[in-house]
Amino acid sequence: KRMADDKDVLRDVWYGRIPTCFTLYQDEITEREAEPYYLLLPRVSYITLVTDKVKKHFQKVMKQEDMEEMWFEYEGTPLKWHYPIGLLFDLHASNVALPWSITVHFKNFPERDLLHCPSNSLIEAHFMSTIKEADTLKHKGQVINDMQKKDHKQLWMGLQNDKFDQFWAMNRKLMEYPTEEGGFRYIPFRIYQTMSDRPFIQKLFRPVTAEGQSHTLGDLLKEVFPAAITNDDDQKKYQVVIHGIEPMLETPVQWLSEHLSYPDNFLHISVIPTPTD
Amino acid sequence: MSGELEKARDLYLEEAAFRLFCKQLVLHSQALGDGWVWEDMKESEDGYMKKTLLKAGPVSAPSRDCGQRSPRDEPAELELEAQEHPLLGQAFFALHPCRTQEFMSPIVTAAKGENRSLNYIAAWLSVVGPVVGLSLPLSYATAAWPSPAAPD
Repeated sequence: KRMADDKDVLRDVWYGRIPTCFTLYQDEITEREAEPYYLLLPRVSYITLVTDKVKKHFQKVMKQEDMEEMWFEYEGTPLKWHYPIGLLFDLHASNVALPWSITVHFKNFPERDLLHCPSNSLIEAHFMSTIKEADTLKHKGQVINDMQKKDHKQLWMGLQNDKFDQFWAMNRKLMEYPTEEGGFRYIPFRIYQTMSDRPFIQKLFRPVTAEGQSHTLGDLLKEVFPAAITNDDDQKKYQVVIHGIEPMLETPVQWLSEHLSYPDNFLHISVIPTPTD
Repeated sequence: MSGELEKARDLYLEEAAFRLFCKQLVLHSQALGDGWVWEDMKESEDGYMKKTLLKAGPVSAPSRDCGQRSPRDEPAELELEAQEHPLLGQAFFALHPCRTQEFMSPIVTAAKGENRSLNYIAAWLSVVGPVVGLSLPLSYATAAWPSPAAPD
């Protein structure tokens, strides 16, 4: 068996941060003026998991009865807490000037667009069920099912408390595969675009061909989202972004899966229109 | 140990088998007229099985709990979790899949032992459906299901 050994990439991905400015929505009722609040958001985490300080900050100028469940919006789009922060940024705000400007709401929860998030245990439940789905694709679920409850807890606590070593001591087991197979059974990936009714595209895709050749990011896109690939003579229409970068289309998907997956073990790939200016 | 692995492999449902079981189940439902349909997504090969049932009353989503359990742990419960529907994008309640193997394993093993054909999806639905008021008539269990080709 072999495992991910490119620790620098794993660290860079883990410690990715997005400078963010939180501003209270103009129609919220305050007792005095609400100052904006600045935070470095961890890309791999969830927005409702790391914004206690934002809530406390606005609590100082608001009455308790005017504060319902906190939710976030970027330029009119409600931000889904159950997508990792880095994905939300890549998908909605890739080519804008930093800091990322997020609007904070305490009223009129958009029931049609967002899931409620009453507690961190719900984020944990969502995280664990996604990681389990990923392992079902990678190892028929055998690795995650063989873990103890405390091992699952270690994955979650590692993410919640931003402990790289604690998380990876356990997550490395989810990244193993038999050498003779050349990779996972299937690659857990989701492809997102803003101009779509469907939240994302997800299909079964193997890391190697029947002949043992590595499948690349280009192969993956050709199969599930051919429009994202630019033909030689055409103007580039789309950017394919993971963790804020555009990986080369020649990159093997197995390598991407081992190094650029989010803690939930999925590759969250954003396909966004190339900026025209 | 190899017996355990064999069992786990049997319980892993491939996409082709999943689609076939769903198709068979919908055909059986059409003959019965009890409302299961297959919905195709436009511009895609994806789809989902659907039955609409209107019920008055509150819905709750208790927290879930997974991981290996010792025999002394509390008995199995099926738990609901709010999620985003992967095809429709709207909020829906999903049954937490963690205990699936626990209750499906005896069913699959028994059917094998008695050399009886089994529709995995019908068997699964018959266990979890009643949680949300979707009961399957007995004919789903007694129907003869052609088994799918063995996965790769």
